[in-house]
Amino acid sequence: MSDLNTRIKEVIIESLELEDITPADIVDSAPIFGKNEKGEGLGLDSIDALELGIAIKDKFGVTFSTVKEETKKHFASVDALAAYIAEHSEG
Amino acid sequence: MPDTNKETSSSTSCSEHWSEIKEVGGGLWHFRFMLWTACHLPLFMVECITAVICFFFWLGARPVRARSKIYLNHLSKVSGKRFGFFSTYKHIFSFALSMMEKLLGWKGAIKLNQIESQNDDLQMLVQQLNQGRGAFLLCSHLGNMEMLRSLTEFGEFHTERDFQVFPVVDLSGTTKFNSLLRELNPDLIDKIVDANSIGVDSAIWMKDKISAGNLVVIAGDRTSANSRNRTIETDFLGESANFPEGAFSLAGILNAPVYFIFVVRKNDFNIRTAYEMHVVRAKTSLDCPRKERPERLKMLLREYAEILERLCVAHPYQWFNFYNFWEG
Repeated sequence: MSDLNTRIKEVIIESLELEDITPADIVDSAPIFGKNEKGEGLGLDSIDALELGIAIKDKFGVTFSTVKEETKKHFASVDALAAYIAEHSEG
Repeated sequence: MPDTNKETSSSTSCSEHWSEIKEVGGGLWHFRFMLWTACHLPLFMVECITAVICFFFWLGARPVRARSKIYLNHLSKVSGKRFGFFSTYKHIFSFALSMMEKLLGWKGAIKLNQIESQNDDLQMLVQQLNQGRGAFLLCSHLGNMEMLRSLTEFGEFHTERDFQVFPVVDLSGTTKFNSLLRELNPDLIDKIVDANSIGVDSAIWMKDKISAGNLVVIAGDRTSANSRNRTIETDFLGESANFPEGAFSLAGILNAPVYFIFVVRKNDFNIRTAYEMHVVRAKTSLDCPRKERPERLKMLLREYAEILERLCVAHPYQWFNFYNFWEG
């Protein structure tokens, strides 16, 4: 599980070309988009979301629901994304 | 169609975002009548009837006249052409004709031989489609942006490979007209990607469609109703104006070759004449480090705005954005 988390973080960093950020800097439970009340999170926006979604699909072979609210849930944090990928990935 | 019923007919009526302007009043029967005339009468008579109806619409539609005038004034400054008292009528009439065209296109009454290609990048696009590679097209509210799509739908396109066109459209403003289009051709409307709900799923879907050799088309000259603050600015017809960031960003996200496409009537007021199809391959590539992307988006927009401006000057009455485009 934690290995998958690291791979997801690498995809996030690589696809969005985040500089000066290592997988260790990303908090597993923190929001990927925007920030939570503790100020944690990557603060990415909706256009970043589309790019990240495409990168995740390319790397892990998962697709996402057309129901926006559901997809939003899967992108809530690295943990949430890992859980979704673990369940739906083809290999 | 723009609303006539707004009471706020002072200059403040020009400050709404287009998405706040309602579709013209009246029932679906207005549009049904349009469809009936388009299907059963000779095109010359269709034009005459449209001209008469538009005249009365024009008389009563002061806010629409005001919005049209804003555009024509900008155009006048750039082209040096003077637009007289009836120019707003001509603009509205030309728009109504384009609605007729759209109905004709959707029922398959427009043929490929009515379209004249220019000596531009069309061949490059056709070649690319023949090789099974798709593209991302930026169109506009100039002329009839659906011409290409209606043609492909009726097998009228001269490529060796079949391909499909998937337009990204905001359907929220024209529900009545859309319901008629749905009746006319349900398959066609089901191919539309709703611009208001683009998410991860639809981005992946669009990318897949392009990889499979199809076209995804979006208009680059109308800011999104949902995210009005996501805009990029450039000069258009002599004054700085906002364009939708999302439409141009999408080109980068989908990472596909970008073409600009414009289809205009050769004669602004005659739907029996030929159409001009302009296809230009974008010179700006968005395949770059993300840091450089904002700069590249500006360059891409600049290319687009320059072509659009040139075609607006050549076809002054065919740009159909009936709201104040330059309002912050």
